[in-house]
Amino acid sequence: MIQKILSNILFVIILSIYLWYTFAIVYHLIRFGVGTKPKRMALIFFVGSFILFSATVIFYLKINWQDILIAK
Amino acid sequence: MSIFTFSKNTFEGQLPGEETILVTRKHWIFLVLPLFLIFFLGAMILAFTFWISSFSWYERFSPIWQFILSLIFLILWNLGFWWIMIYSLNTIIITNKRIIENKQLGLFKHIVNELQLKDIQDISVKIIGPFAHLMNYGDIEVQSAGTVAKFFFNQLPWPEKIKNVIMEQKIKES
Repeated sequence: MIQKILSNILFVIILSIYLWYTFAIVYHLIRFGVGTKPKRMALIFFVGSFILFSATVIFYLKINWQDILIAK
Repeated sequence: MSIFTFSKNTFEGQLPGEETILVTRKHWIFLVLPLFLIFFLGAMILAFTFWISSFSWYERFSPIWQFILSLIFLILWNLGFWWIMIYSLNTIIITNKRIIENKQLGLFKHIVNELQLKDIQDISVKIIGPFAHLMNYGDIEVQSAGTVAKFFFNQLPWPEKIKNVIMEQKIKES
């Protein structure tokens, strides 16, 4: 039970740091970038991050820990 | 959606009546080199995946390896765009009134230097080395009559052209 709570807290902390980092990059590129190129880069970064983050979560959910940890 | 297709090159701290003449960054080669390293690392990891997939034990561990792989690519993607952000936000802006140098050294480390066109005394261009000649990049040194005696703008593309633009604006301004 405690292990589950700790792992959930750890997940929330890592997710918060990652989301803040992603937001900071998009914000800097759009807010302070001069010209159209930084804005386009922010869009590409955002879309790519969303796809890769979704893929990471899907692959994580596909892991069968019982199958890996218990020796056959 | 027009922010992705059209821009008047406006910037933070622009004065009334101030017109942006040129926005330049470091030569693209200084962006491509770190990105190439990241791309190379990604390619090596993919080659490693291809290699380990031939082993019999891979089948059992493939779900966890796919997760690790996607996590590595997520980190590489973020690292690559960190470089792109730093590259994009380090700009030299030449307007009809002044030269503004934006130095973005990190998320919360931002330095702005500016030089009035009327204070410019002399501009020199330095292109050192065969690679710099081949790729057409160099340094610009501006002698100023202001509080800061010299300004250095490093690794800019086509430095001669940038120098000419500055000189043209100085003549127009005076």
